[in-house]
Amino acid sequence: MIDALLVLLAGVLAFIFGWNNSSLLIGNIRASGSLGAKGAVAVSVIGLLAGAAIEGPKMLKSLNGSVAYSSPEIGLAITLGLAVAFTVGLTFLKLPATFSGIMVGSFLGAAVALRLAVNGGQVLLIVSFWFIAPLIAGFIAFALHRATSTLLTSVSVVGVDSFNRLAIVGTSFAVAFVLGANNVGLMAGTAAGGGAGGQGAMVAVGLALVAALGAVTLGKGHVSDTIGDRMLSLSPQGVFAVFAGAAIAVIIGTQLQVPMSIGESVLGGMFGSAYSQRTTVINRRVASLALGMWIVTPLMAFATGYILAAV
Amino acid sequence: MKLRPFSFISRKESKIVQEIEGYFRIVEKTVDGFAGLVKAMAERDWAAAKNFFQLVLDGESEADSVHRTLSMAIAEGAFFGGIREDILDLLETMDNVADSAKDAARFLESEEDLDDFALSLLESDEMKLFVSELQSAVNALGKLIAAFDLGKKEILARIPAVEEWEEAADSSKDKLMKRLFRSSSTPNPVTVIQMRDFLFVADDIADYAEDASDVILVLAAKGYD
Repeated sequence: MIDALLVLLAGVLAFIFGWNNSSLLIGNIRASGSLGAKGAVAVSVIGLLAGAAIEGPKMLKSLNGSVAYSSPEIGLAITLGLAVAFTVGLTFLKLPATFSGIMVGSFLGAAVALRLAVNGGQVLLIVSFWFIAPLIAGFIAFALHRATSTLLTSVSVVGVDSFNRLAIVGTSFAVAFVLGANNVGLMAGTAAGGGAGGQGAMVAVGLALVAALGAVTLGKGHVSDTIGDRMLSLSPQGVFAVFAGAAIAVIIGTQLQVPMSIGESVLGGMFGSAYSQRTTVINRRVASLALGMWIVTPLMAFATGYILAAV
Repeated sequence: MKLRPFSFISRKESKIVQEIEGYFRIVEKTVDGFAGLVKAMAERDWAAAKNFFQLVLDGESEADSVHRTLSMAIAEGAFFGGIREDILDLLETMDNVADSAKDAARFLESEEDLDDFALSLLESDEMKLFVSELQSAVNALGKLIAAFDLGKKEILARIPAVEEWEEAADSSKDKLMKRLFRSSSTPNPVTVIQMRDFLFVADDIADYAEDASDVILVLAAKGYD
């Protein structure tokens, strides 16, 4: 019974996740005009599935089996249930939802309330990597943006246009891949109780399909827009640098079993990309809001998870 | 050297850039027609003037048509990430160059509209210099558009030439204005007003060429950053 509930909650969460990240998964390609609607959907679906199938299994034990060694199913249900509630609430409020932060916070809160043995070293790694990842993404974005600006100087307008097209499709695939690997893998692991072997991987692939469905059916790109479009304006090469930097930061986190929010890395990448140019205008109020939400949300999820598990 | 490492992906965009170059040649032909009209009027070759006038009208009309087709093609699907609006702006400004040539030509539509004083102004060395500077500004814009194939460095290197020719034309226009208003003879006031307006409208040819170069500067800054 509770197993079915976990899978159902994970399915709902995956659907909302797809909706929440639709502008990253599909919006970039569609808005840029690089590909038509079918092509954009195909890139994101293939990316999500490939990420979930190839790298997703590395994230299966990133909470249950890593942060705490064996959580009872009620702890996992609280984690998934709160993730659904927080993500829906923040999405409707058009606020950036740090999906992985909510899951880690609520899982940890429930684990502490249930008096489980918590792996302090892994918690420290996760929290510290949340701060390091934007710096990594920012550094990569800075270097990539500088490099592309320099290398493309002698390339024709059409050549630059072609590069932009390729870069947007490539980075959109990369973003879908890392979201499938890290976030869908995290959801699958939580739903499968740390899901050993093939079962967890199958759940990950199934959830990736559900996430793609969420992105296609409900996605209009509102939430990710609040972070990116309102914060600063970037050229296509800037967008490429940001998403490449963010994707690399998330894939590094995946190797370390760290649940990651790509939004944090995108924010870091945006600063890196923006500061690689001579003139930069950044909406600091929006940046501060995003940063504040990413610190406050896991803490709120921790407190709520603790209270629910204690009750 | 032309570097187009990925251009196989952007065939449609490549075609549009070629068509912009073709569009420019129509604009240039219109301005050349205007220059021919001024020369023919100055030489009192009314038959040639009539032909040049028709050339200007036809050129402007063709430019309008190509402008519309190109704008539709860009609006309907060409990629040009981040610079699409700037390319549309460029086309609009290029169209203004052709429009100015036509508007200026209208002042010289018929020999009956011009008295001896007006004709003497048209045949003056200052007028010849002014018209050649207008043409040079437009030619410099053509070289700038051709640099779309060569990259940002070359684009930026070719922008100042348009501005220099525009300033030169502006200076020549001022000299012609002085000649117009400080003439020792007593010209017909209507002729003075007509020629003053003619000079202002003709000067717009270089002004719009310079505006187009400004749009290209923005396009290069946005497209390559």
